[in-house]
Amino acid sequence: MSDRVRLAVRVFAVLHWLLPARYRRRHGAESVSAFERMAQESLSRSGTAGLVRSLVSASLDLLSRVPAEHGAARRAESIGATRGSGGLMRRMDGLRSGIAQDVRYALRRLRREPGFAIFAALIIGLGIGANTAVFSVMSPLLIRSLPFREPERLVWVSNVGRGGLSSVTSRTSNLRDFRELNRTFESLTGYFAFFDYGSYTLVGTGEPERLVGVGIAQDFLDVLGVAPRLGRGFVDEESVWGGRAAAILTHDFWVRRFNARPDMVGQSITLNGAPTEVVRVLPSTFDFASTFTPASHIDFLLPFPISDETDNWGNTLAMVGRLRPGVTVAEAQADLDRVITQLQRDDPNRWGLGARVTGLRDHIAGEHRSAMLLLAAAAAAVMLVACANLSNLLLARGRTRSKEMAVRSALGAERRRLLRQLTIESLGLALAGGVVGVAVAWLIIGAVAQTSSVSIPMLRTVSMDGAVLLFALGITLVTGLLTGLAPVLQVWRGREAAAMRENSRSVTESRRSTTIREALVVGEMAAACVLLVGSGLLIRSFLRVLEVDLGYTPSGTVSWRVDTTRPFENAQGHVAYYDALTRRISELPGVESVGLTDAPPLGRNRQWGIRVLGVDYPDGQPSAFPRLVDRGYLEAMQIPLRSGRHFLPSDNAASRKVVILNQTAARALFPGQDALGRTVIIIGQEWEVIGIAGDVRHQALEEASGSEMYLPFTQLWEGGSPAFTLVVRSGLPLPSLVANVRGALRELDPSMATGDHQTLDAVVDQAISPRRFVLVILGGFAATALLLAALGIYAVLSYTVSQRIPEIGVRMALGESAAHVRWRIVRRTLGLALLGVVIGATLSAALTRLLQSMLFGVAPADPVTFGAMAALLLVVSAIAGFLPARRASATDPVAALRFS
Amino acid sequence: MVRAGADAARAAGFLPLKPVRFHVLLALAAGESHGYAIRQEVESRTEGAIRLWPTTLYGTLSELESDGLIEETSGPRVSDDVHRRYYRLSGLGRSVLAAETDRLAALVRESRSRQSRSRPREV
Repeated sequence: MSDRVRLAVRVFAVLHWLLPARYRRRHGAESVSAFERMAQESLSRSGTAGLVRSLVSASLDLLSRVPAEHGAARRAESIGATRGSGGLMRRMDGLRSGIAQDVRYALRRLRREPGFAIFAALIIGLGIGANTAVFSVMSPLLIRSLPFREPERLVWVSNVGRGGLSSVTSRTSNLRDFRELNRTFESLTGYFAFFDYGSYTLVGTGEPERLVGVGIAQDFLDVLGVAPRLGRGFVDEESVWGGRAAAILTHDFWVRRFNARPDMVGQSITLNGAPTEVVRVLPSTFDFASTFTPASHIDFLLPFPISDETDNWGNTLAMVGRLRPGVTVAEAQADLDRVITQLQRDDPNRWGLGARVTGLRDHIAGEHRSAMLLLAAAAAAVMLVACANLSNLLLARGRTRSKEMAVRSALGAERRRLLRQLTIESLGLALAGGVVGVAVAWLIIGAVAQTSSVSIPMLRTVSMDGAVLLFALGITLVTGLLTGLAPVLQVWRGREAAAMRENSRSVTESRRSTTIREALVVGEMAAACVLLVGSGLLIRSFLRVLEVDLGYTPSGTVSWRVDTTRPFENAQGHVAYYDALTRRISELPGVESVGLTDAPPLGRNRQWGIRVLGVDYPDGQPSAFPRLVDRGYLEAMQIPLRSGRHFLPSDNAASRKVVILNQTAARALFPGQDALGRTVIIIGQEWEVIGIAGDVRHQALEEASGSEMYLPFTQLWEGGSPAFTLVVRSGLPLPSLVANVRGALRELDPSMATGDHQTLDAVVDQAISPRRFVLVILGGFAATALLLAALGIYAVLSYTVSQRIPEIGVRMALGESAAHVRWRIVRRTLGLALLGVVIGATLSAALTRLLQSMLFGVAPADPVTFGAMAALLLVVSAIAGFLPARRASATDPVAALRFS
Repeated sequence: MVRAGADAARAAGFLPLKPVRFHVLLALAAGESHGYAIRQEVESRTEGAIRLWPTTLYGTLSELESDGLIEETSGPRVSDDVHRRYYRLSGLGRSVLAAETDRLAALVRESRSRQSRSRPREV
């Protein structure tokens, strides 16, 4: 026996477990051996395809017999037992065997029309797949509870500013005082939000690797209620300023770098040259980065001391609190307002006080909530189109079916029984569609969970879990009932008697059911129109975002994080090190320009106060985004210098401090005046404005630049080894440039991690990733809806044409031209499509207002989008209508007349 | 004679026969046989129009047996397969087959005569 036959026989044998024991005992072995002979015959006659066909047919045959065999087994077992029992038992038994019969009948019908069954399953499958996938994506964000203990009591406490990270984070003294004075929190904690400014290099086995670690308050994980995978939390000696070095590894990092070795806890690793004890490993359920800082990656957590030293750093802490049981967000807000008033009264000079309390889930879902709801609505629209489509198919079959129903009803079948039969059939189709849908969703979810570059929170935790499957099952059942509705209504209205009277040949489809079917097509068109307009507006917004003038030129530029673990004695050493580095890189062949910054665009952000010497600011001191740069940065980024001069080698720690402002800052600080040569106060020191640079979209592509200031890093060294980003502009292909730069960096500093590089194009790409994510999914939905609507219109017209062949024959015999026949049918199509477009456009006009927050540079009622999408729909409909029209016009009048 | 009459009355209760049942009974009319041989005969007689897949085949045999239309036999002395069960028609089965054949024959006659009457009108 060949392997293929053996496999087929095994599959068939396994299916026997669905049959009752009685059947298996009596016929199991014989049945399997009979199949084996059939399988061998099929294989030798028509190869593997024949074998597969045999297996499918035999399996379907077996499945269709399952209810009957169970019924027979039950009857054989209980043959005397039920005789004496009550009427209810007998009725239940009757119901069960009746349903079994209906199921068997439905399966048999589907098997007889495999083309229809497959087509219907695909249509329904697309709808169910879309909905299931969207459900699974939005589930962690909006439905599933966060992976923490009693997550509904967790809140996010941000500062009250607007703008950069500095304006929404708090000083550590705020945390200390809030902890002491509040009455509504069980506990308050936080993490160091500016973790991306520092970085850690792991040396030891393998290449040096740049790692990202986040500082957390000692009780951070306890407040969230994250149980350790292994190990313990940070202890007091580790959580004080200058305390013992310790780290908690994230699950991913532990698996990636240490192969999930359980003995890592208690081991020491070397971070930035210092031995650091691994005290704990996080569970896989808690992905810090994906939860709090999407599209970044985090390797470990460190203790972050809540001390005077860290308080001096200013606003740096992201705060999370756990409310006491029964306390609402509003009560917590009122409580913190009270605390803040008291603190401000006690110390009128205290700055940085402020608190805005939001539920943690609301904070995490944040701006993405509307996008998710939009996708959910779009998926529901696709589902409706799919249902309308299937209803239409079922109705088209309904004519043949209604005769069958009429016969059955005439033979005494109750109407209830016929309705049950139809419902079971559409449920069967929906279940087959459900299987396809789960497969479709599984593919989409797999792709989504793989994406790490989309900055939508919790995306990496998306998975096909029990809740998702339950949702798929639920939506499948609803679909089954919904699509079955139209044929069921047909029977309900007693159409079977009418059908019986109809002459099977000459009668054309009744007006009523034509109207229903055309109404369904119009509905499909309208839904497709809404989806198309929505995605059209998003596409135009997306293109507008891509057209935005960034203020610099990202293409041809690669950025590296360069973090040296080398300690510097003084500012000269620090400057000399980076001078040597940039000089070495700029000497590489093909490198056009090189620059250094501590904050590249679309990355980190913070704000510092800035004021003009001798000016008072009663309404509060202005602030600007500081960028510490070297003298080559503006040129390397191609940020234009509008006036003044660039930084020079002579601008050093010993010389007068100099600053370059962007145009927005210059306008804000010196309205109507020339800023050049003026003096501003930054971090308590005097700086001379020597140049004005162009504005840069730093925070987001959609947001205009704020006030920015460029400070030479040579004048700001405060000790330590701050991290920089090296920007290299070159015409070389990326791989050779990367290899050259890495080689040069390693030569200069063998302990430097050089793997962390990105093209600036990729950075821009990541910034638009949520927009693109929504766009791709919505676009996919719109395309699916368009396809289904086109199929719907095609199916209806084909059917109508086939019904009207005799009539068309008569008309053509009387002299109507083929072209006119075609035109009449296309006109009908366009009429239906136009009605759908008008309804769809009206709905869109009402609904696109909801899209407002996601649009950029496009009005919700953008006439271009509406016009283009209406045209697209009409063209597609015309094509869908043209095919049946061509068939109709090819009618041979003589044949058609003979047929009638 | 009495028994034959009773059989005929009972046989009427099984009519009309489903095609699969009819063909299985027909296959057994020639003498005892086993499941796979029945399948082959049905397939060749109907020129492949009716293919009996295993579960329908053995399920139908079970039903026919419990309805008393066929009986299991001990089979031939020498069999090439220990699993095989052999069946033959029961008296009732024979009556049912005969009654169904009569019914079909009457249908065929009726159909032929109607067609010949309606033929001239077709032109």
